[in-house]
Amino acid sequence: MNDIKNINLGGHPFAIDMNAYFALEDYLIAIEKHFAHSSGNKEIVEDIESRIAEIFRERQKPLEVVVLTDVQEAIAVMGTPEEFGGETEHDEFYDDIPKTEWVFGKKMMRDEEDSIIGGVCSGLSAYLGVEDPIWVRLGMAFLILGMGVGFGLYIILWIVMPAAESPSDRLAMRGDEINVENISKEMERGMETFTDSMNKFGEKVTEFGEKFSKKG
Amino acid sequence: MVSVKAQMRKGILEMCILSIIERGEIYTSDILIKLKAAELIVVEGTLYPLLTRLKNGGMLDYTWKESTSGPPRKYFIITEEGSAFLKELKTSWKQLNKSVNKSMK
Repeated sequence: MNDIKNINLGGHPFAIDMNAYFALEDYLIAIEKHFAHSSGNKEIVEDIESRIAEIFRERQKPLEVVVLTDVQEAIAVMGTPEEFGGETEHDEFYDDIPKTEWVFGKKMMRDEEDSIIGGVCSGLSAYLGVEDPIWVRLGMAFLILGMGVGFGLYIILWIVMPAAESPSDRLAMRGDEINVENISKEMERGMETFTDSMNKFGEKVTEFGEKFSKKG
Repeated sequence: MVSVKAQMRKGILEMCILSIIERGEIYTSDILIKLKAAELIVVEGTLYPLLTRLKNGGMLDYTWKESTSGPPRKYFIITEEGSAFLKELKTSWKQLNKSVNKSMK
């Protein structure tokens, strides 16, 4: 035996089992939460509600009480918010960056994008505010060749300094303020570097192909 | 890379949704049928946030139409801005397609 509730879903009246009602309520709340930061979230939820109503009406016996299996079937068709594919309004780009790393201030980090060996010198020059890493590199070379302590120092720094991997790392390395605008700039720059290296890769392949065909 | 993939999917889906609607005024659930038939979406929920976004961006508009069975239904139409945007999308899609095919030969 089960209690029944009368609901209005997307303009359609339905009699629904209590356990089915709770399942549907949970689902709709989850969707509402998922789109809480989107503009037009109310509209999205309304559209989904009317679609669920339509699914209920397309059942073999549309006038019967909606039971739990009906709700479960409708949810399977609509999908959970996680299955929607991250189509939230706020950019999912920024979700990839762990919030805990949003520390202000400069950090000593290795710059692996601009590196000769481990990116220690370019990281150091960013930390020290030296524009061209060549000076730090020369200093390091002097310490290694001239005094012999440089090699050990380099290895220690390599181990101690973490690599600047994410865009927010790179900003922290240079001491730039970490905000959404700067991060998106850094990400765009990252994409350019990627395109550049892809182009270079393409050139190399063509070069290789030409050499190869000449030999053959 | 997950987000790059998601962005790409989203862009392609938007182009497909716009071209479906460009063919003429259409009811939301009929868009769903076409997208599902083309295996472009798995769950129906994917469509609604995209439609709302395109509408808020001025690419789409909708009208309410009376239905014989139940409450009025939302019918989508493409705006002039949406048509222009779709044209751009199609051009860049063709270029991209060409480049990708060339590079994979």
